[in-house]
Amino acid sequence: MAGEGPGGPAAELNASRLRLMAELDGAYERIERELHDGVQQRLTTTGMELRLVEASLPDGDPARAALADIGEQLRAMEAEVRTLSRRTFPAILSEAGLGPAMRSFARHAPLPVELSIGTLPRCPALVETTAYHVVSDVVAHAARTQAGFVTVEISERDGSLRVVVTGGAEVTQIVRDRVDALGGRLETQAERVVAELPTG
Amino acid sequence: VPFRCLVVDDNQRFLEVARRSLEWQGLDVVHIATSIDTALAAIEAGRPDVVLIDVSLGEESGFELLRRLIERFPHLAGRGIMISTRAEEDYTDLMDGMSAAGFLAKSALSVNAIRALIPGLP
Repeated sequence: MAGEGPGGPAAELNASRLRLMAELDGAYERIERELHDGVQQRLTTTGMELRLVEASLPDGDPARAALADIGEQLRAMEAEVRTLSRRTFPAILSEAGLGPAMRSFARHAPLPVELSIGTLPRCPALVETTAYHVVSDVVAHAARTQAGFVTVEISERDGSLRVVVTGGAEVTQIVRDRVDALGGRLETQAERVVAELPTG
Repeated sequence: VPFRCLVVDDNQRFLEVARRSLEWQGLDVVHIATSIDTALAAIEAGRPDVVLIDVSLGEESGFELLRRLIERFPHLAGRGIMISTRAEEDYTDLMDGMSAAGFLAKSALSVNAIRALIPGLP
C-alpha cells in the first residue's frame, strides 16, 4: 500500500509533524530562557543596585523616596516578566519533569486544580510537553466557561502515559494534532478528557 | 567576625552587585564563583560558612553543585541556599529531599534573610 508502512510518505509526513512540534517547543523554551537570563536577571540586579544607592544617602534626603518609588516600579516589572516567562514555556517541565511542572501549573491556574500524580519516569520532551498541553488546554477552556474545579490524574504503565482530566471536555484541534502525531489517543467524554501517549 | 559567604552564579554582574550588597550589610568575606568546578575550588580555598547557589548555572545545574559540594564537604549540609529570579514556589518540589537550608528569591537576598534560614551562624 502506497503511503503506508515505515519510510513511506505517511511516515515521512508524521516525522515532519514531530520535527515541527519539537521546533516550536524549542523556540518557546529559548524565548523563556532569554527572558529569564536577560531581562528578568537585569531587573533584579538593577533593583539591588538601586537599594545600595538608596542606602548610601543620608536619612531625610528627598531622593530616597524617589528611589524607593523607582524600586517599586522595578519590582512590578519583574513580576510582570516572571508571569510572561511562565506563560511562554514552563521551564520546570524540562528541568524537573511533568510532576513538578503540573504542581507549579496548579498553583498558578485560573481555577482550582486537584492533582493525582504518582512517581513518573522522565519521558521524551515531546511527550511531556504534549501531556502538559492537554492539561493546560482543558483547564484554560474550563476556566472560561465554568467556575468549578478540575482534577488531573497522570500515570505511566507499560510504555504509555495516561492523562485524565475531569471537569472539562474541550480540547483545541492543535492539541489533538499533537497527540495524534505522537501516535497517541485522545477521547473526550462528558466533562472528561483522556489522553494516552506512548512513551517509547 | 561575621560568617563567610560564597555566591555562585553564571551572571557576573549579579555576582558583583550581590557581593557589594552583602559587604555593605556587614560581611567581610564574600567570595564568588561562576561554575561547579570554580565553586568547589573556592570552597576548598575560602572555607565559607554559607554557599548561595543559583538554580541554573548556564549549562550546569545549581542542584548538581549542591549535591556535589555536600558529598565533598559534608559539614556544609544545611548551609547551602538556592537562589533564583524565578518564583520560589516553582522549586518547592525540587527542594524536597535536598540538603539545602532553603530558597531565596534574588530580590530578597540579604544577610538577615540568610540568618533566618540558617540559625547559629557566626
